[in-house]
Amino acid sequence: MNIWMIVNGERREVDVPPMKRLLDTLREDLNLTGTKEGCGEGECGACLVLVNGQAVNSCLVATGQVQGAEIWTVEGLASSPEELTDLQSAFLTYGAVQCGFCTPGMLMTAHAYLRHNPDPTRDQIREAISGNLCRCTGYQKIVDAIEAVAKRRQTEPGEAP
Amino acid sequence: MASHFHQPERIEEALRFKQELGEAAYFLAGGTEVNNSKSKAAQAEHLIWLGKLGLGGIKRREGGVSIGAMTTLQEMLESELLHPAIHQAARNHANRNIRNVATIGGHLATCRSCADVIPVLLALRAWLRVATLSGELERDIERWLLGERDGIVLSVEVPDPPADLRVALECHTRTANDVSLITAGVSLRNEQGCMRDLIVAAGGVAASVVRLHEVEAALEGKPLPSREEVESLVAGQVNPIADIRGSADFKRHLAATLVERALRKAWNR
Repeated sequence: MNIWMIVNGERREVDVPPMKRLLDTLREDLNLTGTKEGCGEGECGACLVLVNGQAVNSCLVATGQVQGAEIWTVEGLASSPEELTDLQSAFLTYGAVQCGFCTPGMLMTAHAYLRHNPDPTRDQIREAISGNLCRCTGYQKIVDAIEAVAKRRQTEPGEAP
Repeated sequence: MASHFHQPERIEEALRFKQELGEAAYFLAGGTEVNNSKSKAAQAEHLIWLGKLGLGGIKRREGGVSIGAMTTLQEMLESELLHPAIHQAARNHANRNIRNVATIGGHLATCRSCADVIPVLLALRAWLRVATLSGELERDIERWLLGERDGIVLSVEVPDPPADLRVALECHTRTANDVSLITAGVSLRNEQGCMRDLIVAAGGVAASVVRLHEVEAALEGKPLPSREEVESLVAGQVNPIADIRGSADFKRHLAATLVERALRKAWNR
């Protein structure tokens, strides 16, 4: 089945079985391997991408369901490897990356959540990332990084990425 | 993996596909159940996607609120039109990433024993609008749970509760992310120190969420008895199965504890 979607701002077309998982279409057909597969059953959030602005596990979405949808993956966050977003930089500054496997999903979840709630409490951040598991259990620093970005955006308002 | 992906644009077309294909076809709503590689539906040959039928959205109606079947649980959690107890039940369901996709129609169609949102729908006396090939009908949720699940859920209709209705929910999960092991939902009115219009629903104790009619009948019109009395009454009316998630005794103990807590919370509100 021919399916088109807007991926990271560009129109892309793929010819895949409609039930192929969006995760596999992104990784195998569009070479966007930043999106990871962890559990494959919607528990870990490693495969998290944005579909029409909503954070979803791409292992639980059939490609046929996203015909014409706007998709953002971790590759779409930074405009170049030298120009990371404030969220990506904060993950580095705060040591929020250990093995790195959960990082793409964590970034996408946090990115979507901060647009939904620009001034969250620490508890709200924890609730927001509750569907993203970090196998290194490095949650404190991840929460620190997200909190720091939210605070900085409050004090230095600019155009949020 | 399904080889046929049907995308009907009219309800009747969706129903016809299902009638013709029978058990070879599954309806697909959000996909958190059907697209899960470990589900039986993932092996189906045909999938009938319901995403093009325009069944989303929460609307105010005369005397109540209508929740379209394709409304996600996160949309329900964020809707100011819905009762706070529905927000609480939706919040118990997995996590935000799953709730962004999981729909209330899929939640009802899957009809898991430990479904998080079904007990509160029973407690609020909600009912379903269901489309069948012989026309649209209203279906009592309890009958749906008991197996009358022909057709496609169009919406969940939640009537405005009486001003003095008290609703309380309880659940137990191993982790916040896990599915609930046991759920309880109750509603009642306190009329001159006695419980009236009592509804007691529990999940995780039978094949689907159930109303505990014997418990309701035993307590209706009375003040809330002691904790021990309520717990022993509930324990005598539930027959959970033992599985990897807990022994039958443990689940019975939990169900009795959680139903009692929900009743006391509602009673003291």
